Parts: sequence; C-alpha cells; structure tokens
Amino acid sequence: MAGRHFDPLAHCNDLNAFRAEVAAWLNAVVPLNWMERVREGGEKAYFEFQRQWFGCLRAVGLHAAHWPREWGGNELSLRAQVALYEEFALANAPFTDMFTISLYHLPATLFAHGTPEQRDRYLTGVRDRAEVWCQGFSEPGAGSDLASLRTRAERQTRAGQDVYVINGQKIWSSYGMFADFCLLLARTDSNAPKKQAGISYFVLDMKTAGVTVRPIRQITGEAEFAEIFLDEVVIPAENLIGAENDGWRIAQSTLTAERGILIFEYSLRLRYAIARDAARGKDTWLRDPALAQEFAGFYPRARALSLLIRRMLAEIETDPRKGGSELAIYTKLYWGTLLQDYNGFLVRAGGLEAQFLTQPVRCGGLTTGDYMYDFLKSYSWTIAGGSSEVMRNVIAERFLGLPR
Amino acid sequence: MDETIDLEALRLGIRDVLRAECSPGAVLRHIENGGGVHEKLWKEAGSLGWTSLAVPEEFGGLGLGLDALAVLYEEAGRAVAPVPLLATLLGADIIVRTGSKEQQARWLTTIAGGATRAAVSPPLPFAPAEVALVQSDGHIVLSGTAAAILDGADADLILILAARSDGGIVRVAIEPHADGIPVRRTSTWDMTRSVASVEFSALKLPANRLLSADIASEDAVAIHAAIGIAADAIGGAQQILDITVEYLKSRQQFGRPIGSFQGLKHRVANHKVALVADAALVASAAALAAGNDRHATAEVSSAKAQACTNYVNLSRDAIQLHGGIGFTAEHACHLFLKRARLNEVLFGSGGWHLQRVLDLVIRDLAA
Repeated sequence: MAGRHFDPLAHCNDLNAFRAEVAAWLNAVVPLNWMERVREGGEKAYFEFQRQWFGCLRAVGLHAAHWPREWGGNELSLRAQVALYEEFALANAPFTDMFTISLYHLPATLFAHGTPEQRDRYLTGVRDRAEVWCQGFSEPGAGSDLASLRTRAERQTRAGQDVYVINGQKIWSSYGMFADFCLLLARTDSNAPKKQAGISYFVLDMKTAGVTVRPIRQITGEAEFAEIFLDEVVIPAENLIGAENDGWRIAQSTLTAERGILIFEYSLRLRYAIARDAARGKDTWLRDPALAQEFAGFYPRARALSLLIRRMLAEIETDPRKGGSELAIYTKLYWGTLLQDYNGFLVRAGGLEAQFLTQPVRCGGLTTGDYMYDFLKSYSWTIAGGSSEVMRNVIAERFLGLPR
Repeated sequence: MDETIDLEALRLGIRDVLRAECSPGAVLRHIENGGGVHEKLWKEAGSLGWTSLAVPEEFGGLGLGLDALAVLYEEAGRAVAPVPLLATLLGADIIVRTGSKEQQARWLTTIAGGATRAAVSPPLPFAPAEVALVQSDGHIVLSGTAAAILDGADADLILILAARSDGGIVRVAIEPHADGIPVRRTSTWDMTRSVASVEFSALKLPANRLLSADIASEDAVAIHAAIGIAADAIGGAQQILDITVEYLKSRQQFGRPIGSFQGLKHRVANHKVALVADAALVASAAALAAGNDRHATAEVSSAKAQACTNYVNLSRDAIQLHGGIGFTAEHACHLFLKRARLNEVLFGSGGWHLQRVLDLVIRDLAA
C-alpha cells in the first residue's frame, strides 16, 4: 500500500489527534468495495478477509490496544476506545468477528485467572500470530442451563504425563471451524453437591487428535457457528485454567467480557443505519405517515440505548468487573429487543424487495442493510450469550427480588 | 445557575417530605374527600422553597435550571402529589423569560414563597392562541376561550396565550380572583389534577398585564412542560413498579407467591428495563435542556414520548398484575394509571412528539 506511515497510537493521549489519525488510516486501508467482495466470495473469502483485516489492525497495534502494556497492549483508555469505535462506525469499517474471543474473552479470562506461562503463550499467540480462539461452553443439552453441561474431563496419567481425557460435544462455537484454540468448559466432578461446582476451565488446542468440527448452517444461509465433537481428546494438565472445579466462576469473567464495548460498537452502527435506512426509504415507505411515525419511534429507543451504554462504559472504566452488572443485563436485553424490532420493521417497510434473496455480507455487522438477512441475524442477540428470557429471569429474581 | 447544588441531596430531601406527607394512602383519602389541591402539602412545598427553585435569586429564588426542576417533578410524580407544582413553575418560567422587571417583581416573589399559584395555557407548539387581543390606549381587551389550562381552576395567576390581530403572540396575566374572572374547572379522571378554561368576551384589563412572547420563549416553555410531564412519568412508574413487585412477593395463590410465576416475572422485568432506559433518556433531556443544547428539542420529544407511553403500559399492567384488589378504588393502582393517562395527552401526545422527532431528526437524516 502506497502512502505514508500511520501511527494512531502515538496520538492516543490527544483524543482529537487520535481520531484524525485513525480516520486517515481507515481511509487508506479499508477497501471501498469490501462488502461486495465479502458478499460474493463465500466462506473462504470471509476467512481470508478477516485475517487480512486483522493484519491491518495489527500493523498499527490497534488490535490489542485495549490490553495491558505488559502484554503488548497500549492500555488504551475507555475514552480512546470509544473514539476508536466511533471512527470505525463512521468509516463503515469491517468487524473483527472471528477474533472476538481472541481479543476479549481470552484476555479477560487469562488476566484474571491464567498462569504467567499461559498468558505468555496464548496472548502472544493472538498478538503476534493472529491465533483464532473459539468458545466451547454450550452443549446440545446445556444452553440456557449451561451449568448442566455433560462434557467430561477426566484426570489421568498417561506415559508418565498428567493429562485430562475429554469426551463430549460442544455447540454454538462461533468460528470453531477456523479456530486454533478453544476455551473449554468440562465437568471434572460429577458428584459435586451443586452442578456449578464440578466444572473446570481448559485450553484446548483444536489440532489435538479426537477433535472434530462441523459447521452449523444457520437461518441466514451462512455458517458462523460450529459443533465440536470431542472423542478421547487428551490434553496436558497444565491446560487447566485456575483451580480444578472452579471453572464456573472463571467463566463469569469470560462471559462478561463481551458485554460493553461490543454492544457499543453495534449501537454506533445502528445510529448510522437509521440515517441510511431513512435515506433509502424517503421516496417510498417514509412517505407513509404511519410507517414514518413508527420508524421515528426507533430513534428514542436508540438514544436510550446509547445512554445506557455510556453509563455502562463509565461503570466498567471505574471497575472492569462491572461487565456483569445490573446495567449490563438491562443493556443486553434492551439492545437485543431493539435490534430485532428495528430490523423486523424494515423487512415490513421494505416490501417485496426485502424478500429478494441476498448473499450475506459476513463481518458486516448486524445492520448491513439487507433487511431480511439482518432480521434473521438479530436472533443472535436475543438467544446467544444468555437468551432474553434468561435475562428477564435474572432481572426479576436477582434485581427485583421476586421468588424463584 | 449554581453549580454546587447537589441534585441527589435535593431529591432525597423532597422524597422524605413527600413520603411523610403524601403517601399513596394519603392521596387516596384526599381524593375520597373530593380532590383538588392538597393545601397542607402545598403550604409545606412553599415553605420548603420548592416553588422557588427556578426563580431568580433577586426575587427570592434559587435560580436553578431544568435539571433541578426535573428532580422535583419526578418526586412529585412518584408521590402522585395533588399540588400544582408544574403549573406554577411554568407560570414562573414565562414571567422570567418575558416579563418586565416590574412584572417579575410583582409576581415572582410571591410564587417563590408559595403564596401565588400560577397556571398557563399550553405553550404555542401544542396549541394555537385562541384568545384575541386588542390594544387600545392604556388597556387591553381579550376575546375568545383559553382552554386546557392545567390546574388553572386553583390558580391565582394565569398566563394566557393570546394573538394580536397581526398574528403576533403575547402572554397576558390574569388574576382570576382579583379580576373577578370566572374559571371553569373540568375535573379529570386523574383527581390529583384538573384542567380549566376561561372565556373572555371583550374583557378589559390594564396594559401592564401584557407580557411579550415569541416563538423562542414559547418553545422554551414547551420544553419545560414536556420535561415536567416526562419526569413525573418516571417517578410514578418507579413507584407503581415498586408497589407491584412488593405485591407479587407477598400475594399467595396456589400455595406460592404469585411473583414466582414466570409469566408475571417476565412482564415486570420488561417494565423494569423500559423504565431504566426511559429514566436515562429523561435525565439526558433535562441536562441538554438545562444547558440550552441545540439537540435538546429532539431529546425532550424522545423522552416525553417514551416515558409517557411506557408509564401507561406499566400502570395499566400493574392493575392486571394486582388482580381484583387492583380494581378497587381503595388500592393505589388507579392513581398511577389515571395520572399516566393524563400525562400521555398533556403537552403533546406520543404521536405528536414522534412526529417532531420525525421532522427534526429523521427527515434531516433522510435528506
């Protein structure tokens, strides 16, 4: 790529300069037609594009800028992260979907519970070698009731080595088919008094013998998720994260890592989507007073969402463990519902045209402008990461104190 | 504006007084006895300086902004308080914005002290001026009907919106008792408040009752009015949600508290989330308005539409969640539902405010 050398992080203490440098850099590196390229290329093109985009970020250190300095990050302040994502949204930059677990969940888990060796090995792998991580939490029989998971990890000694032997099945692992490693929950004590108490947390190398991955074709036509079959998979005992049987507690720090900045990024894109969709509809459905007013009704909800997110980010800034706070739960439920309502409205307003089959724009986010695709995809926020129903139970029981 | 005011301290102070003087039970008894202004509470509001919050310091007030008033309105809403705080403070706002020094001295001091209760006909964005004004040598003459005046029948001072023959608008101060002008009260289902109208047939008043007004001042008062109602809705919604949750915990049927049924849990969870979001929106609207931010109007309309619509949703479901007891007059549920339904239509309906969002924001985005 011709042109000057960009170094946004050199300006991260001056927010305006940082913004300007990020914007200039984005302008130079984001291919104008990236959405079309990804749309036409299918899964392989997606995988390559994700790696290429991650490489762009890595070249200027923005991929892990939010990490602590000792792990090669820049400890980018939350305000600077906010500015960064605002510029991404403004430039309609691609998402780094495939690296979400690598960049957020893995470090959140290892910073809190990993050994120095684990941090060194795996964080370096993400930072320097773009290793892709997936999450092996859900099982066919353990979705909302995650703690009832049945994949077993049995501690044994084989050839003089301490190992765990793992058998079971995982499901809904995002990008599992592209992953180098997996954050795995498995049961190490079937006789624990509470089902949460017998679970341990592991690192699984996806190249280990006995690991089989099968992509799951979803209602949008694409396959983001995978099933992982584990058949007599032997992993070294040092792959245990934290103490044996302490996995449930550790998993909480993993699960809360994604709330916050990810929803923030999506909400910014929603703001631009509202403008785009209004412009698109201005000569058609926006002329219908009833539809126009219904559409206007999304604006207050989008504003309220931004305000909730800002508040949540401020909370996280003072205490990173607040990712699982009351406000984070409200925000997740509010966001999922709003996203689905919004995209559902556009399918209706968009008429027959919205029914024309399109190829998905992978890593294009949740408001790509293909209304039916976006609507179908919105279930990922009302089902995954704690379904809306589970969120409602949590709100009613934990926050409002209603009896179980 | 005094930056040192601690809004949370203000809130807790107001809440304590209202909890003691204006419990739901007390409001129910007050209504049984015919409703109207709760005189004891009004007196207390005056002596505690609530009516002086936004009055400039030179007239005995605290000179605070809309963010502080929003706190007062929210707490009044929580208590479904039968006192004309919003009406009076809207009156003060008009006088502050458009009155001469003499007019301000004449009325603001007694408003601040709680001796004068004010009311206003709806600001221009919500309704055109239906009263015609003719000016002639030292006098003004009013003709027509001023309607939809919130708490107007209990006011000592009403600021009427009137139009000159050239189409320009003005505000006219009438003192119904002193002037001997009959004010017709229309009782509303929400008996904590009422509306009123005044008919003028060539009523002659001295010219010093005339206050200048323009679109800018009317817009500002409209924002105040909408925030007042939106904040009232947030407070009321919080209170009726608390009452409902407590009931779901204590009411036993089928051998268990009904709050353990998921069909009910999810409904209150939805109300809770909507309330948290709306409260953030109203707080933001009040802060933007207090700072005269150029985005304030859209934010206020967003907040008014959302907060009032969801207050209705919550308070109507609260009766259903209470079952039979919620249908009785002796239970507080209906106070909130009735207040919510009046809020919904006061100072711009949800549809009106969404239309404004459409005009101010969406059309702009689409262009």
